[in-house]
Amino acid sequence: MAHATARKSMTFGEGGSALVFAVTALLCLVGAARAQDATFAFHAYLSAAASVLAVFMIFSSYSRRPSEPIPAEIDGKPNYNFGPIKFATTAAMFWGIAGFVVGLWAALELAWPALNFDLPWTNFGRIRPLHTSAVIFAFGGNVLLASSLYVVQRTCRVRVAGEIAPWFVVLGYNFFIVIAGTGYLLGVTQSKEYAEPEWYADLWLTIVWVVYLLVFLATLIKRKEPHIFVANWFYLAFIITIAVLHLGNNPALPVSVFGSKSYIAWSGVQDAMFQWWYGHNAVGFFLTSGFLGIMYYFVPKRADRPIYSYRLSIVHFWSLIFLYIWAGPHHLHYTALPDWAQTLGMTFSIMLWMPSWGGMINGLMTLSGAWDKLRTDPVLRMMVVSVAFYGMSTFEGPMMSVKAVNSLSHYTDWTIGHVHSGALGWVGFVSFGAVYCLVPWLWQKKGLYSLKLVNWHFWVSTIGIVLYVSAMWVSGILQGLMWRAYTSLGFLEYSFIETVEAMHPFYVIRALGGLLFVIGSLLMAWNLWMTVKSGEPEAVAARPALQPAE
Amino acid sequence: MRIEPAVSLVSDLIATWWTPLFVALFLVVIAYACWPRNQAKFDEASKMPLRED
Repeated sequence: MAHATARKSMTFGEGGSALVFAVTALLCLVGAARAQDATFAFHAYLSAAASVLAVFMIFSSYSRRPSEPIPAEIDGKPNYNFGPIKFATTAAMFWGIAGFVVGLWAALELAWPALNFDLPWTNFGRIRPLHTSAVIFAFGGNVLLASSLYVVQRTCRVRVAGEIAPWFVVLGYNFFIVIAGTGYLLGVTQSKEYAEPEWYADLWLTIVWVVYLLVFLATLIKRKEPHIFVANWFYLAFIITIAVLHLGNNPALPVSVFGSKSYIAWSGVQDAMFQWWYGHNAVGFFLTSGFLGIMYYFVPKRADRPIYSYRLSIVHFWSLIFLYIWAGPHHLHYTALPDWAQTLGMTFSIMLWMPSWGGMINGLMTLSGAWDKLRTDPVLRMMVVSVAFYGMSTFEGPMMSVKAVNSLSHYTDWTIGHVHSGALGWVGFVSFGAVYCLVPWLWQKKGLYSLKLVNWHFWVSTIGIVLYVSAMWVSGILQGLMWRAYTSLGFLEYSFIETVEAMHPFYVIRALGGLLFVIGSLLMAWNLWMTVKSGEPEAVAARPALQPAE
Repeated sequence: MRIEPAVSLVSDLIATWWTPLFVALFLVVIAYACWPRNQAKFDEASKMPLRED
């Protein structure tokens, strides 16, 4: 205290990171100068600028912080670090709306192809990966970053590990999204579905992801609670498995270290198998395991009820982990992949019914004793409907993995319908529910600006999903049946273009469903903005009084 | 020095034993989840999201 003005020195982390980013900026400039193609140069300049910005941010946060280290606890309560979580939550909302709008545009292009304006950047082949990556990795990824860093702090009762590291994870991840997205529009892709980013973006994501894993693990290690809450298990499985999948699917040899083009190490059917081992487990561990972590924390919290069966949650977790990793080959039925591998994929997919439905029942039954809240709390209703969609799409998925069903459904719009009942209904709604909970908690507001608007969001989006999914079911089965129709002489009855023509009305209905989903997300953004801007602040002084004497 | 024999030994061991090993591990998990003495701990854990600090 006597030396209030005294020596403030940079920590090793601050100085070291600043140095690393300064060197990175220089290397990026060299890369830009020697670039073999324009997109690589653009990305190198972008990376150099981001590195300079990182150095600047480290110094500015250093100059603003007090000379003492940030306390882990204040008045005996954990001093949670919500800054990076606020950023990820805001980024999730931004990317969500961007991704939904691009999806709507892609849907409209399918109905009216002239909407690609005959430009390379707006071609369906480029905006489709932009849509999928924006919604899965940018929107979903930021929701997972925000919720995982929130849940791990609250259930371990400890401040997240590191000061720069959590910021590096959220900012670095979003920078990866920028590199990936601009790359797609400029025509840079390694042509692997859901793994389109080229080698340098993949390397960057690897660094960010390893830091994310270390931050999460270090927070778990210094926890104050003896038991590791089940949601953290789901998050940890998500982080570890995505790291393994990313490394397995992406080994590539760049043509030049100064160019964007690379060739994948795997070839032929091995490449296909790696791709769908990756692709299906991205569904299993990114879009399922991570969001189940959300379900196990936010549903009990919002319903104010304990988890229905904690035992079931343990069995749910381990059976999901043991089974999911084998289901990938069902994406390669009737291909050059050996038959036994196809059958293995199908069998494990069917076995997945058990953990999926066990988890769904656990989520739904957590509401026992609180079912009345569904009438009054649209946020809880959104999450419960998301769990119902989880049950529905995890019933449909194994069914479609059966070879006989797959012979009709594969390559048709049925798959697109299935994916969207999972993506819009399950992942979308559980994310909306979590963000509706998180924003008032993070910005310390009493509640949301308007529950009525949440109600509108819920209904508009639900109708949108129903339109989307049912249109794709009809269109997909129609398409599949037309493809396999033969005349009495053994000729194919329909030409390909006739099947395309037949699907037009359903494409229009699908785009309408997408439009409703976009409108819902705009209502949400407005509601959250008003909550942060003008919501009633939580009475901070009253907090100790809420403590029950135990 | 040839490392192939060692690699193939390890890979043979894994190929032979991973199925019973994983089944055994899973059974251990089930036993842990269903062990009556863990009930009280799990009841506490199921309320973890509801605790405020």
